[in-house]
Formats: sequence, structure tokens, C-alpha cells
Amino acid sequence: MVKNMIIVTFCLFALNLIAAPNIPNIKAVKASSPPALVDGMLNDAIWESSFKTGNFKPISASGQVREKTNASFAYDKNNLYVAFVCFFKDYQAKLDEIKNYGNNVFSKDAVEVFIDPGRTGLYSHIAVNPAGSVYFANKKGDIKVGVQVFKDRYQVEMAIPFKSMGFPNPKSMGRDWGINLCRTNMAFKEWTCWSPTLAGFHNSSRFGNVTGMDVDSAKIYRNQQVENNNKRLVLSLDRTFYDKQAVVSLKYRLRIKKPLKSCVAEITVKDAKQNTVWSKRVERMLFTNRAKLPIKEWSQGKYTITIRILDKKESDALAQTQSVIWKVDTYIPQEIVTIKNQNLYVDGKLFFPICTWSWYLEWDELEKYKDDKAKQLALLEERIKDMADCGFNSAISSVSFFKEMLNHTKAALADEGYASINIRNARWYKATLDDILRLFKKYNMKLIMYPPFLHKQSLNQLDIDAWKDIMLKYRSYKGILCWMSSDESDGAIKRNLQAYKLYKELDPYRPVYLNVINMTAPNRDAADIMSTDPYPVPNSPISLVKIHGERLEKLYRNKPGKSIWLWLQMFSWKEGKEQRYPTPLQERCMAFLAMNNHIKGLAYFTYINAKKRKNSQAASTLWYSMKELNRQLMLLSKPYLLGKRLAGVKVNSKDIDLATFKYKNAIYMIAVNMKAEAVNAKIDLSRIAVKEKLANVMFESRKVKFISGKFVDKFNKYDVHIYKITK
Amino acid sequence: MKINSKVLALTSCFAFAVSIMAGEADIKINVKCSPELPVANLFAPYNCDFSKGLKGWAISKKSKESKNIEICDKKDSKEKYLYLKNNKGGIHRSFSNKLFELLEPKEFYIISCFVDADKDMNQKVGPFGGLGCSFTIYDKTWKKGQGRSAKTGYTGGKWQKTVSKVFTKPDWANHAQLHVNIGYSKGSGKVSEISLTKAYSTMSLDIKSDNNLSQVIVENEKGKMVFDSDELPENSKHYTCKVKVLTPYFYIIKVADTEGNVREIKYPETK
Repeated sequence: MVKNMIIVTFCLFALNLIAAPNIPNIKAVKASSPPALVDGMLNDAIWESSFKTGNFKPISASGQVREKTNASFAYDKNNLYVAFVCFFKDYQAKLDEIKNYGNNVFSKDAVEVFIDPGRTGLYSHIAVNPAGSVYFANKKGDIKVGVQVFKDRYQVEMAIPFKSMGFPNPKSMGRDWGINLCRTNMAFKEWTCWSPTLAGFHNSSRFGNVTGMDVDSAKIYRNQQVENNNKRLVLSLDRTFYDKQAVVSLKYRLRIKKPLKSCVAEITVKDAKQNTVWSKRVERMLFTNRAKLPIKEWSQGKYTITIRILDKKESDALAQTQSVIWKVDTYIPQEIVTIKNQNLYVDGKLFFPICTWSWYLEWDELEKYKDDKAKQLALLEERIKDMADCGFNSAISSVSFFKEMLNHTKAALADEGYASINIRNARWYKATLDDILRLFKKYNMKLIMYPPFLHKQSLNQLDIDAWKDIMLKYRSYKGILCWMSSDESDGAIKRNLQAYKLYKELDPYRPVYLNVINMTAPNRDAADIMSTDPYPVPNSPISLVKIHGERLEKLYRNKPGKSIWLWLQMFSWKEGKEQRYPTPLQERCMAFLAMNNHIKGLAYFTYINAKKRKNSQAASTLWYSMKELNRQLMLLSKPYLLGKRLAGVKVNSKDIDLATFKYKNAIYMIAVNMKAEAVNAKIDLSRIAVKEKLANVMFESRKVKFISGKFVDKFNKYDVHIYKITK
Repeated sequence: MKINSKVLALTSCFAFAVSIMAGEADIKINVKCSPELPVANLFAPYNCDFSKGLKGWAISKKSKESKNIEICDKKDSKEKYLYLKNNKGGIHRSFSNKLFELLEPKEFYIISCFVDADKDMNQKVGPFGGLGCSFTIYDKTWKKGQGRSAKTGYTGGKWQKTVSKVFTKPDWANHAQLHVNIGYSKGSGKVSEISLTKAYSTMSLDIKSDNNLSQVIVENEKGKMVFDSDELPENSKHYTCKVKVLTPYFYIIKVADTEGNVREIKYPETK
């Protein structure tokens, strides 16, 4: 869906680009020589030839800056060297401020460096305050930092070894790097940076673009991997979140080139305040060792488990590893969503999902109504009502609705592609997820929650930390149909599995939903609901929908606890110079073709808002046809989902897809012409021993008559005929 | 790890044994594999080591036109490799029923090759992306197919073994094609030693010690643990087990006794 989303939101993106300045694009400057001493004096030769940022701009790209900052940077094959000069107006006030710094590096005044090698979104974040305190996220090693405070300014000098940063897989890296240099100055409520990020410093899509970084990324990555592979100590835990569990089961694998008899292990668990809550010394070591931690009595919160392997004689640490777990509250769900026989049930009641996406406010609307919550809510309600009127009963959430969770440190963790646009929008969103859930309830719709923060490629601790707040807050809300784990993250198999496990730990009462383009089989264990997104119009045959349906059916055959959905095309692809939407006939054909081929929920990409309808007759016609289509689908949903599929009905044309169901006292035959040509087809139901001689053709006000259990019917292009034989 | 009786029935006549004396304690490790590692490369008769240049291979039109494809000698070796430069065409060869006489029904197979890919090579799209080989089995009509890829992105300036997932011969199999190409990526690189082998071998371990044994583990060459005995019962002076292993890799067998002594061996030693 993403690639399509990119097209759909192209105009929106373009508007953003007009409104926002371009990000700086520079060629990397190689360091003439490394600083002799990283002390903050900035008197080494390197700083003469390094790249100079000039004065920082406000994060929003416009407005005045009261306390100016500038920076410079250069690199060599091992390090990035960064220097900041941060001016202030009141020396005494700054000294007082420095004296009163607490543990939080960001609490008063700090400089921040963001480094995104290859612009993959896996970036390192380093912050230093004038007291010399350092914060380093995605850390793999140490950095050198020097700070000097003068009467009118403080200076920070850093040498950041590339090997000290968590490095992305070079396979996923582009050629350019994203780098940004920022300053948080709380005294003046000033957030300034080299490349204005518009919505939080973490908006990595707006880090400055640095070309020509001649760094052997593969070597750094490989060494880090070797370190991981050969990691002397590997810790694995049975869960990340614990609620009712009595114990934490952990396993640690020792890979030390020393006799096991010379080693001893120390396990300690500390709470968020660094108090030791549990510890144990293990004298007899194996290659793989197990332990159980008694978590039942521990209070809620974050715990860090540290294992140290010591040399018995020397008491030196041979290896050390850490992992974070959370003790969380048990929760009683107000609503339970289950899957039985591949169908969804909300509190025991069958639910046939017909969902859509991209129904939220657009950039220009938000800009216009940025301070007007009432107007925003009115517009959103209009759309939710619009979807409900058209027969949609569910929709996917937007990142923007998690505004209250998007604080400074978490903001642009969900930084990929369109998500960052949503985050930018979030600044002006006054409507919250609570408002949305209330409106959804009013129109009897369910929300498919797609929380931000869990990256598409791999998960890190920061992601999980930010994501869990959303889960803990909203998991007890009514009106949430399921959790969407990711969209089109086909290749991130490990990530998808990890995300699935995390979702299930925090909410075992709702299904987890994953959409992929093609790679269903490798991801089969990473979801309760799997979908794919064939979009055939105008470049592929409609039968593509059937192929996807068959593939999904095969994936979860004999798995009654899993469900399969399909995304159907409700947007335009380009054909020559024209944008081609599916026609209502094609849309109906695709929908029934999907249902004939075992699909249990339909999703349409994507909502066609009033503006699009105004601009395109085809879009408008399609949208207004959806009400009747969805009505028909809903009427047929019980035969499809609860009926018994009958074999034995034959059709003499391979262009006609036919499915037959027995439900209550009726037989339903749904015949779909997949071709753009008329077909006369003979249907033979003699083998299913039907006594009746007539069938109603639903939604067509006509009947067909059987002779010896056979009849011939005409199918115009993409026609769907639904025959109902009632006793 | 439990294995089924069919696998056990394959006990090999090519069994290979290693016995090593430990320093402080006497730990003897005997290893046999069935089939023996390294297993036979079923592609061997098909010029998949490029020893006969590009004989038997079809060069795509795009590659012919660009001429960015060549066979080179490996440095300090008589072995050859295929070099693809900014080339999305690549080479392929089709297999007739001859090959299908080699692919036994219900048997598991795996393909692998060595790749040295440059910095521009990436695998962003998933397993079919990047440089390496892929083997696709088709039905009679060439319309239905399923494939496995052994491909990778940038390998950091060195040769890297790249291994596919395991596959079987489907009932409808009729044709097959082996491709060596760059999928969905820029960049250049080298490919050599393309191999199709039976996927699994059964490794039989027979371990004896004067001291009591405490644990046995087996890791593959990439450090992935494929077997863990967990803590052995007291008084275990003799331990045997069977481990199902993938054939393209070599393995490290590690044994510890209750005194904390450790003995490890690499198997097969020659690979």
C-alpha cells in the first residue's frame, strides 16, 4: 500500500515541500587531521577546514533566534568530528543553570547530534549539555566529548567513532547520510538546528543530506555483527512484558574461550531508580544456562537485567549483557475480538470487516484549521459519517491521532516516508484518538489501530519503549478491532515476528494484522490476520485478485484461528496520460472474486474524499457506487462466512469464477466474469441434487430456470451474477 | 533433536570420525554424517563452477548488448567466477527432465553460491534482490513456478557463502531454470561455486569422557546453535545423539564436562 500511498499523497507532499524549506544538501568534508585533544577549545586545524553550518535556524524554519548557535563537522574513516558554539546572553544565569543540572541532559540547554548512515532511519542520537553530561541512544561504544564555558558562549567538541554507533545493515543503506545538529535552549524555549525538522528533532526525513561519506560501512557493520555473533554472552528472555507471570525465564549462552570452570555468573535486576531488586551468583557454568526470576511480587515498571561473567580468580568481567523488561498491569478487556473458523467475532458477534484508509485531514485543511478543534472534528465527523453511509464499518487509524504520545523524544521515531508527513500534520491536530474512537462509536464503526514507532525494518529499545505507552493506554478501549503491525514490510521477517509477539504480550484479546505485498509464507507466523494488496487496474487482469485469494487461503488452510483479508483497489493508476480508477463494475467484480476465493474481510485502498470526487468524475462515480456494493456484500456476508461451501457445481467457461454456498435453507451461487468481454456460460448444478427449478438472480429482479439442473446465462464484461435457490 | 526413521535409514558408508584428546580431561568426540559432508553438488555436471567458461549458459539479451559480463580467474587459484557489472540481465540455463531424474520426490534440496558484491548492491526488496543465483521450478506450461534464491547485498569486499531456503520438488514440476543475476539493485559483483545439494545430513555424535559430561552443543559456521543437549544427567560419561544439519555449512561441536573442561572440534575439518 505504501507505494500507492506515496502516489495518493503526492499532492500533499508537494504542498509540504512548498511550505517547508529544502533540507541542506552538502558534500562531506574530510578532516585534515583529527583534533589533538577533544577538549572543547576548538583550536585544532581540523576546525578551519571543516564544514560550517552557519547560524542555526528555528526548528519550524521561520522566526527569530535569541541565542545563536553554529556548528561545524568533518570526518575521517573512523570518526565524525563535531564542534558546537552556543552563545548565551547571561553568563551568571548560565553558571547557575549548570550548577543545577539534574540527571536529565535535556532539561535546560543541550546540543544534539543525529547521525543516520545511509538514511535508513536507524540513527544515533547524542546529546551533551554544558555540564558535560552525555546522552547517547543507539550506542555501541564510547565517544569523546569536551566542553568549555566562556563568558558569552559554551563550546562542545566531539569525536564520535562510527563503530560506537549502532550501524544499519549496509544492504539497506543508501549512498547519502542524514546528519543534523541541534540545540535545545529551554530558557528561551528555543529549539534550533542546522536543518529545520519542523516537527521534533527526530524527524529523520529532514536531517541534512550529506553526500560522499567515504566510510566502510560494511566493515563497521560486519565487525559489529561479528561482535554480536561472537558475543561472549547472549541473553534471551521468554517475554518482554510480564503481567500475571510468576517468573521471568531467561537463558544465557556463553561463548568464552576459557574453561567453563574458571567462570562465574552474576545476575542482577535493577528497577528504574537503579535499586537492585534481585541478584544471584551462579558458580557452575554451562554453554547455555537458565534462570528464573521471581517477578510476581515486583511492582510495575521497567527493569534492567544485567548478567556479568566473571573470572573466578581475577574477578574481572569477561562478558556482560543487559536486557530490559517491563512489569505491567493485568487488564480486563471491555471487548474481546476473536477469530473462529477464520471469521472475526466482536464479543461473540460475527463481524465482517469492510474497511478503508486515508480518511483523515490533509495538510491544507490542517493548516487552515490548525487552532480550531471544533472545525477539525466537524470535518472528521463528516468523513466518518461519509464512510459509514457508504457501508464501510471499519477504518485504519492515522499516526496523527497519537499526537499526545508524540512528545519531543518520541516524535519522529515513526519516521518512514509518509508517516513523517503525518507526524508533521500532528502538530496541528487538535483531535485526539479519544475523539476519533467516540466518533467511530457514534457511527458504529471499528478502528483498526496502526500505532506508530515500530520501525518497518527492525525494532530497537526506543521503538518498543515509545510503542508500549500507546498499547498500555488504548488496549482497554472499546471499538478497536485489531492492531495493525505493519504495511508492506515483506522482507522484515524477524521484525514482523518480534512485533507480533510484543502485540500479543500486551493485548492477547485482539488479533494482530499484517499486510504484505507478496511474501505471505515467510510471515505466516507474524500475524493473526494476513492480507495482500493486488491492484490490477489498468495494467493487470482482474484475475490477479483470485490468485491472491487462493494464495492466502493456502497459507492458513486448516488454521481456524487465523483470518485472511484482501486490499482492493479504490484509487487510480496511470494509464498513458490518464489516471484510471476501477469502474464500479470492476470494483464489484474484484470484491466478489475475493469473497469467492475465501477472503474473510475486505479493505479498500483508499477513501475517496470530497475533493477527489470533485476533481474526477471516475472517482466520484466509483465512490457513490460503493454504498450499493457494500450493501450487497453485507447481505451476502453470512452465506460467505458461515455457509457451507459446496463442490460439484460446474461452469463451462474458465473466465467465470464460481463459488457455491449452502446457508440456512438456501443455496447461493456467485458467478464472476473476470474478463472484459461478454461470455455466455453454462452452469451445471445437477450434481448437488437441487429439487427446485428456479433461482432468483439477486439484485437483478430476474430469475433463471434450470433444465436438468443446467442453465445458460449471459455475463457482460466483469458481470457478477448471484443466484439464490430457496426451498 | 529427534529425527525420523527415514533419515536414520540413510546411515552412511562414508562415515568420518574425529577423535581428540582433551588437555586436562580425556574427551573423545566421534562424528559421522549421513550423507557425508560436504555432499555431492548436483549441479557439478552443468558447468556451474564456470570451469568451461559460459558453455551451456544462455546470456540475456541485455547482458550481451552491454558486454558487462565475463568469466575471470580467482586470484591465486584455478577456480573461476562470473563477473556481472551493472548488469540486470545475467545468465541462465534451463534444465530438462535429466535434472528431474536427480531431484527425488519428497527429498529436500538447497542451493548456495559464493558472492562478492560491491557497495552499491542491496537487498532492499527481500530474498530475490541482490546478487547470486536463483532456482525456479515450473510446470509444463511455464506459467506456474516456485523459486528459491541464494542472493545477498554488499559483502564487504570478501567472498561470502550465500544459502537459500530449503525446497522440495513439487508434484507439478516439469522444467527448471537456474539464474545468476542481479535482482532489483544497482552494483556489480562476482559469483562462483554454484551448488545444488540435498539439504539435510544427519550428524551422529558419540562422545566419551573420563569425567562426567555436562553439555554438548553444535553451532554452524555462522554461530547459530543447531543443537543443545541442555544440562546432561549426572554420571554421563558416554553421550550419543543425532542432529539434522543443513549441508552447505560446516559445524563446531562443543563439549563440556562437569569439571568445566571444554573440547571443541570443527566438522568437516576440510571445508
